[in-house]
Amino acid sequence: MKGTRLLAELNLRRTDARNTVPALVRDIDRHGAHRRRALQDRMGVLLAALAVPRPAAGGTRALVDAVITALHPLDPAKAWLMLGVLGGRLPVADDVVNVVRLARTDGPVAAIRPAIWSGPTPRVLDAGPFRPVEVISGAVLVDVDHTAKVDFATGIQRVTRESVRRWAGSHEVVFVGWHEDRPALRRLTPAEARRACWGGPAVADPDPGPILIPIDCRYLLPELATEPVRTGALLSLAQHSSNRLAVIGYDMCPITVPETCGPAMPAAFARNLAAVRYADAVATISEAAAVEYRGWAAMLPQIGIPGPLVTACVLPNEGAEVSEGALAAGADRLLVGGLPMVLVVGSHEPRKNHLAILHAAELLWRRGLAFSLTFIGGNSWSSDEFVHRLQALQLRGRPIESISAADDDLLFAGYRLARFTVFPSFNEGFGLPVVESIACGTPVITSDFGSMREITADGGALLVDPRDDHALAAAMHTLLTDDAELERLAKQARGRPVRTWDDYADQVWQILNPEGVGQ
Amino acid sequence: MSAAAEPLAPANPTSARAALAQRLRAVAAVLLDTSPTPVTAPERDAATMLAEIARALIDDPRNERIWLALSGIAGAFPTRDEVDRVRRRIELADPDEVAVVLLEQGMASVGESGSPLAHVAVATGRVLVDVDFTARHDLHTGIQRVVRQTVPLWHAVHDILPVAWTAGRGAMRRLDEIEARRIHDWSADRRTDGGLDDPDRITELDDQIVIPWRCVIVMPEVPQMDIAPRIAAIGACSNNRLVAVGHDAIPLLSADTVDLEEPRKFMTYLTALKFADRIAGVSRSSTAEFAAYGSMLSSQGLPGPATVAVPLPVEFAAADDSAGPPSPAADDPNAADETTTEDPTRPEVVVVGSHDARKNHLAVLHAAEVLWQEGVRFRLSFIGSGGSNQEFLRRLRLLQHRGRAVRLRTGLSDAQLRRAVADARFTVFPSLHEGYGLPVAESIALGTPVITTFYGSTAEIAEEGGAITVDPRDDASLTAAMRQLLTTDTEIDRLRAEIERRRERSWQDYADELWDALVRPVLRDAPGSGDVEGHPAAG
Repeated sequence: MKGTRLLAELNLRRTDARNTVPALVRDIDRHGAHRRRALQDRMGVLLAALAVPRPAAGGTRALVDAVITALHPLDPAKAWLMLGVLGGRLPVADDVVNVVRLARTDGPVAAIRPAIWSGPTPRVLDAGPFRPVEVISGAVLVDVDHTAKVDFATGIQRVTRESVRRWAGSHEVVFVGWHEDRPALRRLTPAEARRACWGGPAVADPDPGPILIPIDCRYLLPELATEPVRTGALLSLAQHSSNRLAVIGYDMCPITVPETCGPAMPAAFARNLAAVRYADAVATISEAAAVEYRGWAAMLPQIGIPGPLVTACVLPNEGAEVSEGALAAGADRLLVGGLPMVLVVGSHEPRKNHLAILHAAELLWRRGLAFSLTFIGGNSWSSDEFVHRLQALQLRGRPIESISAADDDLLFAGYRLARFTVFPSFNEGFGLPVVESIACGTPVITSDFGSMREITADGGALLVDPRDDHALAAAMHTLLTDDAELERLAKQARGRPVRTWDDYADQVWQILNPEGVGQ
Repeated sequence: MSAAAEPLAPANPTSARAALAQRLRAVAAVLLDTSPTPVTAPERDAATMLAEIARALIDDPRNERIWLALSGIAGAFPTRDEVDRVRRRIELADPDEVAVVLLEQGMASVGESGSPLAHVAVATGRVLVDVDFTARHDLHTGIQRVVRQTVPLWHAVHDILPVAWTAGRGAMRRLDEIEARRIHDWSADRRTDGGLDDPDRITELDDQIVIPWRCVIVMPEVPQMDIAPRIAAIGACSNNRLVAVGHDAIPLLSADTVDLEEPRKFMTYLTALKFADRIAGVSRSSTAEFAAYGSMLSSQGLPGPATVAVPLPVEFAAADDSAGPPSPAADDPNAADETTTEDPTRPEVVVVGSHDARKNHLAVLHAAEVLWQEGVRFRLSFIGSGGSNQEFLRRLRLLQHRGRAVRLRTGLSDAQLRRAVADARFTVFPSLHEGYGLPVAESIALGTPVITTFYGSTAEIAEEGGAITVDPRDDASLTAAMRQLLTTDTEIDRLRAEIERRRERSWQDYADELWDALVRPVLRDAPGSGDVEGHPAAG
């Protein structure tokens, strides 16, 4: 016990004694030439970022003196920059606040040390590799870290891809991702950027390149970031640095329908929101999603945070072309026995409410109606009961099929070949399958509230209470038997005002980047 | 037709069949117009009941009736998914298969969270108060204090039924004697008293289930993750009305300041809360948070709960201790840990609370160090335990090493704590996010001025006087306030005078207002309910 206390005392005395410039210079100079040069380079980069000339001579001592002068007085933005450049990693909020305090009470060297000192034995643990640090100023950064790593597109990835490829076409943007081994940004290689924009096969072993530290940039996040390391760094970037964060807001499902989300989602999403608290702007994909985001944003003044401006930018409803060949192949694959096909697009997670569709369909089959039911979408979290029920119905000879992987050709052929589609979700940020169906001229049955109500305002849909099995069955019955009604809705669908991805990408750019930084 | 007075003792308590028969008979009494005559053999009785119940559900398969039937069969409340599943299976099944459908689902639930020997009593038109956590634990932080103050006061004038949940976490049950004492007869200095500190103890009442029917269910606590889904089903599927006390939304708004599992616990709570009729927030600020949450629900076609603010009383802090003012200071048991040579006659600044990041204690250490460097002489004490904030402890040790008069005091009794706060020149509570802010109320109740946060619930407590508010994210703001209170007596005197002039609401006021705001409006709509003359014994 006494020995531990003695050791603690010695450590403390050593800490205070370290807070002098000569001590810092010694610690930079005396642990290998590689480390010394790397830290000198970083100090040079930091000075340049602060628009201070690098001393021509004087080695480490001159650099340290210049850095101390340039940083004084230390505010959060400078502290963030210093930690980023010298430490080669984006800091978290606690780090920034801590060094600002240290500068005030313990001196400038104490403030710098957290950026440089990464362990008790720097020769071993802090010897490198020291990646070069590059400061990028006044640019528009587009973070597509996740989208650049995947091929198959979920709704979020689809929106991200359609948007960022158009942004890159008409504006100067820098695509960024994150280093594998530390919380730091990097430029994506051209191959990675292409994959982020268009999908495609994996990029083999891209060179990560330097650590990228932004200043006075507009940081756009079109995808959903959930990794704690990433969201922690984004929080501090938005709160403390000179950069401004703007995001696309998809939905608030982990908060509004947490019973339909997997167990890891709430924590990851809450940390994402913690960063978005300090964003300038959120562009939601529907008015209904804006209602949810505004509800959340309205809580923030209770904790003294103004919160971001929430603006709705509704996703487009333009259709996709299907070739004659694809249509024929689709018909071959999907249609059976001359039966009208009812199509359901979407994964089988509980929120999509596919059990209700199975029940409504069975009620109708028992009444003697003839139709086939096709699901296109993957299994997901908690879809066991759906699979079980589906198989039970198939065993009884019901004409049901579930296809888990379909390319765009098959999917859009399906929309065109279906008599109608069904999408009785409990909560959506938007509901892509709804507009896709309408865009193909195929009526849809969907929920009578939220984004689904909103995006069918121009017609082409029957709206029902998704919690009411009989209402759903009645709507399906109508569209199966009432040709006039079906045609009426199909006509509405065909006549809808079209909003394109070009429109969307442009509008969401304006919302997220209103000052036109980097243009 | 309240079944609360029905005798619960079955003919043969060890028989699962007899128990099933009892349960089925209890729910049949509600679902059927006339109950069949009982027969002696319990399995035949059960079979008859089941067939009758099946018929009743075929005739009228509304969710609330299915919910009740499943609760009775299993002795455990169903989830929303289970109600949906059974409703759909009933619709598709042949009439003579329905009884089997019910039994299958019921037996699956029994295995999972019920007890085969459970007996039930259906409570109709009552006001239930879910005090599960407070009744089974000795913890006495904010939420438990609210429960232990409010429920006894309600009990004195209203007919309420406090409930906890079974060990299997499937259903509600009455409180046993020990649990009832934790609620109605809590004494703050009591730590252990023959089995009170054993939350895993299974009470002998564990298989005496209460099933609510057309009741009002009050949630003064935050229900735990393992019961929230069943409460959600009560709100979504049954004909009971849920009302809740809204404490805070910290894991939702300030996820960066809480442990990783807190957001998940809170979101699980929200699955139940979104079906509540009303929420009474413990401050205007927390009420605004819950109102904003409610406004998010229209996008999923739900009306969301009505919200009303019923602020906690400042009497909060002092009232639950045994006798009057704090006793004169005894020897400080922590004196051995002193590392300071600072003069004990110097003014003392006290910080009460755990060291969680959102309590923002590093800001206080920083402000104090700035002031010590300026030459201001004072002592700083942090009183509290819990939270393992290594950064804070490191910084504290560093300052102690510099000879600063700062110390950490843990393990204090409530009397010692009150003594320390009462003797302090002022206290500091610059928390980043609170639902209420007990230490602020505590300080004021003991006559000591306090520096606290300018927004949220602590600002509301401060409104009535005796406090200075600061921006907790602005070190200069906090430092300036501490400097002022340390170096000028006029400000301290002014604040103390303000405290004298405060007119506080009492716990009785709070209990009355809470009932009127939260329970009475919902009771009005519930038939066959309301206050009852005379009140049954506690528990």
